[in-house]
Amino acid sequence: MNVHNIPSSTGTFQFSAVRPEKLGASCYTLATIAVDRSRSTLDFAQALLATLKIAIEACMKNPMSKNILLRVISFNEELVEIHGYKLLKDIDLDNDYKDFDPQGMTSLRDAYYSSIGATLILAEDLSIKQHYDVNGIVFIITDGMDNRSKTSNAEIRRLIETSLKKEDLIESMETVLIELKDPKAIDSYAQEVTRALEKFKKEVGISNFINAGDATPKNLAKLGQFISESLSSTSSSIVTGQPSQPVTF
Amino acid sequence: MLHSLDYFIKTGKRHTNNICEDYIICEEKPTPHIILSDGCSTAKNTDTGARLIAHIAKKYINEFQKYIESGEIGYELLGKMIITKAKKIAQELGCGLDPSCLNATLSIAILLNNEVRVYVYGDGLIITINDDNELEVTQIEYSGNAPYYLNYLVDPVENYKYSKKFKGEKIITYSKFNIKNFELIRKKIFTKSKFAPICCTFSTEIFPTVIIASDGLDSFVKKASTIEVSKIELVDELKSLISFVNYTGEFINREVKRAIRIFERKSIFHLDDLAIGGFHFEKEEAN
Repeated sequence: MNVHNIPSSTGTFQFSAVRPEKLGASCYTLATIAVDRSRSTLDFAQALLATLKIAIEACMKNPMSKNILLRVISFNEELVEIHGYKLLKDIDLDNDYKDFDPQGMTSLRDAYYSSIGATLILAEDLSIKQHYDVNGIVFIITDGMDNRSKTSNAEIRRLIETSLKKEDLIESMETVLIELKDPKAIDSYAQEVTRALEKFKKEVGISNFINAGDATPKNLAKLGQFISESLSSTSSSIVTGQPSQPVTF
Repeated sequence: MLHSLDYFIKTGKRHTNNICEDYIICEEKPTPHIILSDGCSTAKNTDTGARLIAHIAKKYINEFQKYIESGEIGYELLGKMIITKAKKIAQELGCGLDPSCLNATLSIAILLNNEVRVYVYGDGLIITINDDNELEVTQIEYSGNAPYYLNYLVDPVENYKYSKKFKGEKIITYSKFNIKNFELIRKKIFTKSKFAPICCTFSTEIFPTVIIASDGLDSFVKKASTIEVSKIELVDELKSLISFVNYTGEFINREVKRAIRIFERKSIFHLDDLAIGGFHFEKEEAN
């Protein structure tokens, strides 16, 4: 794996990615899933992890799976790369994903900055330097608003604007912010979180905000299916050259 | 050793019905091979004929690899075997296919031990990159832009029509470029009889990249307006189409797709169908 730096005004984030010499296809979807593991996710963290694994397993069975590079990170006040951009066939669902151990605060903006930054930096490496076609999709799953990040919204917007000026960098990039509610949270707090996330979506230009409801088994199953279908649709789009089909939650 | 074997195919702008009359087979077993057939646009159901010829060529390569390798089945015999069988099958299908549907070119590139042997029946291009980083392009064309198809060997009516209308000379243009700056090192044009065999052998040690392509590769035009269309020089197309930076896996697909996308932004399109397939070899690392 190659290790790359994502510079920011407050320090440097890092990500890893498979070396281009190992990539045999002509096009790839750069997918990132960022999962909140702050203290408030304690009651449903295990179920969320299981959902994630089921979604990835479903993607592995997709004919386009060889065209997906997936990176998974978890975040509280720190970002942890569960694994860098890997081909799905190289993901070991049993050993790559350890229990989340939820604790600490929520650095949502940092997680988003890292996700977008990694996508754009790898896109540049693969498309401009190595001539692959790439598109990107980022899922950020959280149950709360930011209370710890060092990165600002303005910095996120700058990163996106600067990168997207480069011709041929990336075919398309979709970002999906997913709110999961702690079933025990009081309504007024949950509403406040929703408002804060909607504001965040607008300010940093996230393409899609999904309020997934309470983190119940039924909603988590729907979430898993949504992630898997969205990933398949995005990879199908880069392979066929057709626009991706909208997936509804 | 073989590092990658890949191809790209796309219907040309001229074919508004979107039926691609080029056809390409690219397989690693029993020995890595590329078979490319380009149907004649004026012949009805030529897309079917091109496919038929390509699949029969594949069958014979599989069955007679040993004899092809030894030369017991040479250029002429192999061509005749393929077209005779294709004609027979087209008739046996009994669905009224016109014999002219087999008016299609055939190019074969096959790895035999440490050499790639290329046979071209009709028009097409052979492109190689040698270990001195020189790009060699051999373009086979015919006078009057009328290829002498294998089918004419077994169809007296088609042969008569062709001979009456065309002189049928092969025009072979050989060019060698420095791949870094595309500076022309050498260029030779010579003519040969329509029956002259085009059979070349490339050592994989000397030629790490061997590519065959249909004449669609030389059909790029810039469309400045609905009436103003200018032809793009082959060398200018090649600068983009084969500027390989990474030979892993789908190396042809990657470069050609990207080049076509960039061309399209500049209103540059290939009018004819384009099929291109190639091998890339890397030296085995010493232990």
